Amino acid sequence: MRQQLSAQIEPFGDTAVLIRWQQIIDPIVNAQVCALAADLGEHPLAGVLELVPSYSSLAVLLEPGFAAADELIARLRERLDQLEVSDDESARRLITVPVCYGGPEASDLREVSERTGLALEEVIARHTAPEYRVAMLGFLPGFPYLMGLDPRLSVARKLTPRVWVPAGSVAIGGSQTGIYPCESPGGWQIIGRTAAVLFDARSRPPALFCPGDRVRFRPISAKELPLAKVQIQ
Amino acid sequence: MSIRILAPGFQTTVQDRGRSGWRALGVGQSGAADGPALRLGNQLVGNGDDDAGLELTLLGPRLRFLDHSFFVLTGSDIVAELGGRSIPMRRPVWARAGSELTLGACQTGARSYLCMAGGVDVPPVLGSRSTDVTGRLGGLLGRPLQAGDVLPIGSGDSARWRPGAAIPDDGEPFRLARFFVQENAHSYLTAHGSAIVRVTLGSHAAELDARARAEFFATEWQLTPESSRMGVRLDGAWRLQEPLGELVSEPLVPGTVQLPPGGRPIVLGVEAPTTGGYPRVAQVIAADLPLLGQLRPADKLRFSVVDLDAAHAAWRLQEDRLLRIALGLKLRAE
Repeated sequence: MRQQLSAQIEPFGDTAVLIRWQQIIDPIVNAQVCALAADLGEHPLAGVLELVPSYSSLAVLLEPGFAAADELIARLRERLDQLEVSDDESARRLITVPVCYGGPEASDLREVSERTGLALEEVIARHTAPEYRVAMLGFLPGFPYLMGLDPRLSVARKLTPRVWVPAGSVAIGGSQTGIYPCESPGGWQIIGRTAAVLFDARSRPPALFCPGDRVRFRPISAKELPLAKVQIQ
Repeated sequence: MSIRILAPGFQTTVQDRGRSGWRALGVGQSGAADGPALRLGNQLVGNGDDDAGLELTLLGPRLRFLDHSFFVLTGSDIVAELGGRSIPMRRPVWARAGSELTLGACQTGARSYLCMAGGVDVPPVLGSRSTDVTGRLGGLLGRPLQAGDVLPIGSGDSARWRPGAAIPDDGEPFRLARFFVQENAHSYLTAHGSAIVRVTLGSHAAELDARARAEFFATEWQLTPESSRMGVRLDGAWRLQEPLGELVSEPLVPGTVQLPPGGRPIVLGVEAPTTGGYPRVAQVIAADLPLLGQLRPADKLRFSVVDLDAAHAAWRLQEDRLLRIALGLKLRAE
């Protein structure tokens, strides 16, 4: 059990309520967000349609016409006060993603190396070293926002976003790293590629990742890329 | 039953009432930008509220009915000809197999809806047939329609209106239903100056000083051409003195008014991303989201700040109106 962090609960327009912790990118805050989302998922409150966790906020979407926001806010406050957040790391899945760093298509690995003053190998070593945490999914279906990037690898987004980023691109945007589930325009710096399927609408669940998952990257060669499999432990 | 798209128009997509339950995975709501217009269309042809129709944007498509069909046009008034003859809005039409529907420019808003008895019968993806263009999900292959596409239409054999059966064999290419709905499900104010879009205050409104905030909400904004289902982008005389900065990404919903560092607001639409990092200064009330979906590039709007009670009352008013129309149609059909 962990000490309860304070959070504000406020109306989010007339169809949602927003619970906001201190607005920082931090695993302890994010664990609280995930724990409250899990609690509300297992024991739903009347009038709640959907839950959307992010780094340090949780949106609670309401059924159309639900007008008792004040009452719901009081119920949410009770849940929050009684919330137990488990510290058990081993209860969260560890997902290992094979990544081919560099490559011919749409790669910014060299640019990241120049901007950080680190050799290419050093960029790869520092990107594969940490265990990341999936803080939230957003931007595109199945896109994981990972926290835990080595601060030395933090590079600003591209001034002009690329019109085309291939599916499976592993990228850095500021202090975050993530993977593009499908081809899309995008402004993050691309350092590698994976053949992992991050989102398939026909699968249940449709997304490979869920908030709270632990993630590691495993470097592989271009030859291994098409066949290398994701490992889930 | 099916239809063939001969020319796609500006952007024609399959939409229903939207997708819910998958936001936590980054899958947004999507659905008709003017929900009440789609709902009215479904009611007029005897469909259920969950059925899908076509959303037509600014310039409609040209298409052929490959079977006898029963359809209606709702939403923005749109230039429409069936077999070379003009057809009215909000009045169902029996069309013969092989007849060609030519849709022109939207006249009063940005989006019109073509609803066919039986609904557009593409397979639901994550519980909805709506096309999510950004996420490449739903609709037909997750994209706007193209020339040559053939879309399946449900059998539409509702007890009330049987398409085909009702067309007399008199050589006419179509027949109009006796019943129709006079007015739109909500009013489009754009033809007469500024639309008034009602909002509640957002989390970051307090970070603007009192004067900047008052001026923000007094400004007349104009939609820029980059506006889309994802959101409408606004420009106006208001200038942000000091950027509110970028924040940790938080959840977003349709209707969120974001204020990026450049000071030009973005009002998110039905295809809003599920999360984002710009300050949120306001939130469009649920009852005014359909109006937002009808605004066109160069249209003008002002925000009007209301409280939650007013927002709920506006929603109930709109809902009552739609329920009254539905009841009237039900009585008419029996």
